[in-house]
Amino acid sequence: MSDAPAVFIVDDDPSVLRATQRVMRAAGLEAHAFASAREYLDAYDPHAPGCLVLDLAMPGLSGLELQQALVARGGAPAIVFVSGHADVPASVEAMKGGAVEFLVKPVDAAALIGAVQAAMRKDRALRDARAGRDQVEKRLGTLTPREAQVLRCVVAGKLNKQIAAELGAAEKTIKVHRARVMRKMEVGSVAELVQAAARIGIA
Amino acid sequence: MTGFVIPAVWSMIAGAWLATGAIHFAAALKPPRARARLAFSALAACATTIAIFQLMLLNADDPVQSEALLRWMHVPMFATVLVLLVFTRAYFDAGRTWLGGVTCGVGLVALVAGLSPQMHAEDTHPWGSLDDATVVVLAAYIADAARACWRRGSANERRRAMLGGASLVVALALVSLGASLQSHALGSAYAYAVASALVLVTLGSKVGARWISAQDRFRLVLDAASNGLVMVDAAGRIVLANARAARIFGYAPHELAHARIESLIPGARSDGASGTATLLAMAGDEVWGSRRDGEQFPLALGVTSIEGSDGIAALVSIVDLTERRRNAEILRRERAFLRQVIDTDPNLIFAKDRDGRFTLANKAVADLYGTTVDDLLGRTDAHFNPNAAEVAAFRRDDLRVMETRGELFIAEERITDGAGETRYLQTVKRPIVSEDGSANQVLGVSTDVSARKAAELQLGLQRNELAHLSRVTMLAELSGSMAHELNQPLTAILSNAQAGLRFLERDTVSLEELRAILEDIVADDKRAGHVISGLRMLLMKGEMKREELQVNAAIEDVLRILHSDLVHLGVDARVEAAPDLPAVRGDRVQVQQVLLNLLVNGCDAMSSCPAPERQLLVSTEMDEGFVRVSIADRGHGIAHEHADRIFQPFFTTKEQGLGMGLAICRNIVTTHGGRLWAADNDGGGTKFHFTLPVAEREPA
Repeated sequence: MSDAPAVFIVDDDPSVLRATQRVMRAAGLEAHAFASAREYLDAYDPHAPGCLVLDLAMPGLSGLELQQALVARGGAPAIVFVSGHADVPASVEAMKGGAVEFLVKPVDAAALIGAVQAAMRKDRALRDARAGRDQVEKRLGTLTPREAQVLRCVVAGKLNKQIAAELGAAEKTIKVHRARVMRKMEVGSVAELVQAAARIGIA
Repeated sequence: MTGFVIPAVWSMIAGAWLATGAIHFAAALKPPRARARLAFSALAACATTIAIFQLMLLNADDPVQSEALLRWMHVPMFATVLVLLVFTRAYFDAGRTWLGGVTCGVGLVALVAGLSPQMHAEDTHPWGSLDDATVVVLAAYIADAARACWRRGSANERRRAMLGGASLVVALALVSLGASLQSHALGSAYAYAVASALVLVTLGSKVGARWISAQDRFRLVLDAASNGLVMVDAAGRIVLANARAARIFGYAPHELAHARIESLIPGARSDGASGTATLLAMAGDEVWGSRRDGEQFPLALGVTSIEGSDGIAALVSIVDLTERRRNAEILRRERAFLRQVIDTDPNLIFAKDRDGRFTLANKAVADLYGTTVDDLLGRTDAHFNPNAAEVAAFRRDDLRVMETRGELFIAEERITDGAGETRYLQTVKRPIVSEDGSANQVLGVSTDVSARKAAELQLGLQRNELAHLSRVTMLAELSGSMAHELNQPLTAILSNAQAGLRFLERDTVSLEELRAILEDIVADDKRAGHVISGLRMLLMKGEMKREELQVNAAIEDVLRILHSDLVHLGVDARVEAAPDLPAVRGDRVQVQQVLLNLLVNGCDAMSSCPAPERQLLVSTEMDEGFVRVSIADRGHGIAHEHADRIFQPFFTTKEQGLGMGLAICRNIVTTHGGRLWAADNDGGGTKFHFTLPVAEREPA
């Protein structure tokens, strides 16, 4: 799989599968077709960008089961569900699992393309967010335990004096730690630092 | 001289009597005329005794001895009288009983008188005339018997009467004369008379022996005849009648002699004209006879004329028809009874000959053709039935039965009745085989099964209705699945078309791509059409068809219909189809219905199973002239207390079930000539099997 985002289509009906693939191609999207959930799962690459167009009812692993399997593996791609009939409980479950859209067959090409594009955007956003978080965590990893302590205090909005008192160190020493944290975390301001910390859940 | 000759004569007479008596006695041991011969032997014995007495009388020296001999000679004399009576009776086959009685009585008195010693004490004894009286009465008896014999008329009897009767009477007359002239010579005169009479009788019997035996033979033949035979002379008098004739009319044989024929056959009375002519005119007819007790009875008359010296006599043969009439009446009643029986039978009973003509038909046949039994007989089916094809079929079957001489069972045949309506018959035809082994008639019994046929049609119609209802109900349940099946190709078509449009908007258009798109659209459209036609077929109401169909193909069709549902329910359906299965004969829709029903049941049974165990296995195989389809699920199985009831109508374990599905399935399979049953599946769950008979190739 290339790094360019692609549409992954899973449908047990070969005819529908082929037609959907054509629609994607006509919209200028790269599309990969899979005749079953198992087939897709076998070829699944979590790093491949793109979105999933998933048939709800399939023999073997159903669409919802595939979604759950992907979530269990640590993050499903953005999914557009396609179903033969408007099955309300199934659609609720799908949306809860993070589906972008739930479309009922026969699906209008424009709607499908729109949904796929939205899913692609979501996927990209997700990937970006994940990439940012990873970076922050990586930078966080370079901090010494003392620097990490100082970081939490700064993010918590404490003044240098307060931090020095809390950690039992000189205010000057704290200042040095603080500057080192700012450099290691590659931020220019306290606001940026707070934002980065929020990304990895350090409030 | 006398003293010398007379003893010699008596000795010779005694010897001759003994000899002839012995001969006749020997002959008397055998019939015919045993009685007459026996009597003759006895007579000979008596005569010999008398001769011996006479000899002793001639040699008697003293009067006391003579007197005793004379006295005791009355005993053989009386015996002679008795024997003569019997002989006469037997010989002439006639004689008045009262006259015989008188003779006996007088003879007895003479014997008593003769034996009394006082009577002989005096020279002149008035009692001596008693002996003469005996002779006279005896002569009268004999003469009367001879007369009767004479009057019977035949030449034989006349000769016998003349020879026997006349000679006896003449002899006795001489005796009487001699006795009256010479009363003392009573004993010898008696002996003379008796002796000469007996000699004459001997002569007569010798002459008669020839014709008596001829006559006896004739008599035997006559009496042996099964018909009554009466010979009538020209004047209408009965000359001769055999024993049979006498018995018919209730008379003793001799009583008929000289009676007039009209006393037996009143119709033979003629006014002056020849009786024979009247009889001849009646020959061959059935006429009334009159018995002795006055009963009138029917008789058949045969008359043969015999030309004789005194005109035309007739030999009349008589058959008593009373018995025959009674038998005919019994027969007629039995026939009428049997007729009534076969006419009461609502089945058609008939017989036809080689030309197809009815030789027998009961009322049911006549009613069917709207005619009468009498009208049917001698006519053919073609005369009543306007449907030539039916008539030809009947004819073909009839001839086949006669040719093969075997029974033919026709489960159903059509016949057009008198009103032009088509009726259905179930018929058995059998040959009527004659004694020489050939069959020139066919006997048939047909049951009118039109009502049953109509009921069957009605039942079939209802069965179809029910099957249809069940089908529609089932399809309603499957409607989501069906919609999905239709939705898939529609989805593909829409996507393909829209993709195609988008491709067209580009600067460069790949014709290859467009062709592939259009091809897919065509294929999907066809697929949608197929789904719809399949649906319509299942929804359609129609009569059951019998067509050749492939079970494996039907299974595929049904699985296609069920595809979405199977997916939805997470059921994995597999097919293990035997390759090269022969076609079965049946109604495609109904077979699909059975498959659908069993598959849906299997799915329902597994609804609570964990997903991996929801497996349906459909397999087909050959099973001795049948194709067997097995559908195995791995569901909850059938509780044993329900095993017998699952095929009963209105039995269901489902909350929303009519309970008709399996009942209808079994009905469908049975109607197809197959079987539907359930068994436990080896891997848990239930296995339903059904068989369908392999389609026989239509005979070319």
